[in-house]
Amino acid sequence: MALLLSIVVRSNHRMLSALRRIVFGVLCVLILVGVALVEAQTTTPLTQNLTRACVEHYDPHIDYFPEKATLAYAKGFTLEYFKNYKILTVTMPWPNAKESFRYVLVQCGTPAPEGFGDSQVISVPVRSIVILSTTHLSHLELLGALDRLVAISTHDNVYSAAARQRIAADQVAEVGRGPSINLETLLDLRPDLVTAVGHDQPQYNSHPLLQNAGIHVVINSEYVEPTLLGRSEWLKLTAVFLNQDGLAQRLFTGMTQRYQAYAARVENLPTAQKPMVFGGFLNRDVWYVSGGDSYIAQLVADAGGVYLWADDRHRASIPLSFEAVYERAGDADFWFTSNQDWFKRADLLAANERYAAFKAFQEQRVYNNNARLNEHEANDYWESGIVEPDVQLADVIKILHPEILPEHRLKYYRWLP
Amino acid sequence: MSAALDTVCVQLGTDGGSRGDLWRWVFLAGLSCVLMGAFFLNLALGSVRIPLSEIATILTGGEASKPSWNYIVLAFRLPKALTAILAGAALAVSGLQMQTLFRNPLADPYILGINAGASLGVALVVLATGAATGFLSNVGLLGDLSLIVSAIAGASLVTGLVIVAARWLRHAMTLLILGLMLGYATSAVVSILIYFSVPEQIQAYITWTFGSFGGVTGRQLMILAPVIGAGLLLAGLLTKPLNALLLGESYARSMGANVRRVRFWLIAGTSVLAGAVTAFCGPIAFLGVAIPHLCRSLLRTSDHRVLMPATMLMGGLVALLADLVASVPGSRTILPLNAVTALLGAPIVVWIVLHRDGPRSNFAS
Repeated sequence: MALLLSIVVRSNHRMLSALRRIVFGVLCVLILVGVALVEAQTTTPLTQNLTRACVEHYDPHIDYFPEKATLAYAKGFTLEYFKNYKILTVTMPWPNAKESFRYVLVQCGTPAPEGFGDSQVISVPVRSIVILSTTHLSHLELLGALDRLVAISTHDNVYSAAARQRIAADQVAEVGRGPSINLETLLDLRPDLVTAVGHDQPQYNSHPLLQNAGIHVVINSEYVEPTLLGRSEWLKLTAVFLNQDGLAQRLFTGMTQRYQAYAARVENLPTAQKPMVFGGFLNRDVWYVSGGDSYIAQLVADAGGVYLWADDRHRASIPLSFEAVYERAGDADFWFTSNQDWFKRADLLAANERYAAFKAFQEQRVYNNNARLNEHEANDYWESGIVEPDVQLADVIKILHPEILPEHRLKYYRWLP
Repeated sequence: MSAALDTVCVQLGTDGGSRGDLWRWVFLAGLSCVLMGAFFLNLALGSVRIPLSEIATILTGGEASKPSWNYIVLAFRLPKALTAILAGAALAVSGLQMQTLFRNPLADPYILGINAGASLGVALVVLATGAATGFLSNVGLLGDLSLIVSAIAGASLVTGLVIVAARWLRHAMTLLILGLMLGYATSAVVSILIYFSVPEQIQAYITWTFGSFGGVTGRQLMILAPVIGAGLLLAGLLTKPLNALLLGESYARSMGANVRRVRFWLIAGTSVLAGAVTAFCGPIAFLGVAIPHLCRSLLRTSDHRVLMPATMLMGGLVALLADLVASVPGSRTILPLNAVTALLGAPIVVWIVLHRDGPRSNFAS
């Protein structure tokens, strides 16, 4: 009996240890499966860019930027995508620039690539931004990133109501730009990114000063583009820093489609129905006229007008003598000016009585781009106008051919009575 | 007194006598003819090519074959050419007055700080007000009229200070230093304004400093012409006391001239002439310094009775020629006037002055 008992106990003991082994094995398998499952989960590709987060477990095989932007009109910068970083090259930081600027944008939480020692390496998405031009403000607003704006060059230049609210709530500092930029305030803010405008006269540039101070600064110079759509596409340059590449791509496609739909309505007008258009203003005895390769020239052509200096090959304004302008534009049909202080034709006369000699003036066909000015004298033309090329085109079509867009109401342009 | 001054004048002519007098009259007559020629050349040439026959039609009151040509010649080129003559004459004469008053060959109409005052006025309007406007916003927004008003305000302020000082200061040299210091102080303020301005505003300001005759319209000429006419008339009346001043203030005083009163009128006249020109045309350099030297060398005299009309004519002529070159006939653009006056004028003046070895004998000191 005692023997039997001891056998039972021993076998029991054996059974127990076997059981223990089985449990351990099952546990091990479970853990392995679990780990494998977790592993499997991270290797599934991302479907969206991380716009507000960092990567916690880096996997070199994952494409962290499934949403990409491609460029259609902009000539001033290029984008290249890699798995965990993207390369932005600003090839036209200012007109006729000899140098270009390369930025390496690395998904935060992933290692920076080797071999880009001479470029700025910036972790994205950026969490705080300083903009040195209001032309960048509309980008942030459109991309839903106004909450990341921590400072701007000049408060008075801001039109956007949402941005004004943030300024009123003391959430946006004022830092100036160019040689008078307030470096101490900027260093104190420690922004992830500053967006600056490039200038062909080096003394007005803000970026060298900031770069020396160790602040990440990107040049965003949409004004170098010869077309309105090209200018608007620089929205994508701001977007890549926010990982909003996909949103910017969709927004810009929408702008392009609407712009082209408007342009198509005046495309086939016979030349005889296309009015003659000129622009600019007299400064002493020099008249600055937009060049024939400027976005203004393109806009007039797309709106079914004849730009009087379309034969010129300049992108910037050209200084002409009064005689040369009067000879060509004296009997033109429309005059588009860009003078913040002109609200009626009498204001033009007060500035220079020679304006009265133009037919467009006599026949009350003078338009100004200051329809949206706020009490701080900020002009929305330079803000939301940057990302509404379609509305700008519709404005000009409405002016030149009112019968084609009877429903449209002018947004950026004002008729000077 | 007048008899004593006359004696001085006779002594001033370096090669007096009837032969010299004849040469001077021929010179003045010739200069007038060349001036007329240059005037018509300025009407005929410009960015827009207009045939000579059409110019003649327009000037005789007819209609050109293109209506825009009528406007270009009568409303643009004509006021421009008249402005050039008036401004050139005004600056040259006031330069002559200042060189004699201060007995300094480097003196010019701006030596009293008028230029600096006008620049400050314009800088305040162009650079300080535009600061609130948006990016790439609009240059030249301020009309020409506001530039003129601000330049007049600035120039009057400085002129007022100098004239008040001239009434109680004993020595002309003190005035010179006062003007110089006012100039430094105002340019310092302008530098600060420029430092805090955006490129577009700086461009607008710099464009003003280049100077131009073409910005003056027919209606503005109605103001400019009588003002300069009055200033030139005053200068004509001051030729005799100026001759006395050539020999030094104490000498002039001993000749019976009321030096302090003469000094006051000289400064007032110069302020009006230079102030009006600067307000309407911008700070036009070079003419004020160079023309008096040019005339002294060509005429070989320091007698203001001859120098004064010669300087007026020569000033108008050189201004017309400079404006003609600046408008680059046939091209659609224009050059900055100040660059043209100095670039073309300086070598000519250097050549004539060196050729005649003038300066030593120019100031009978």
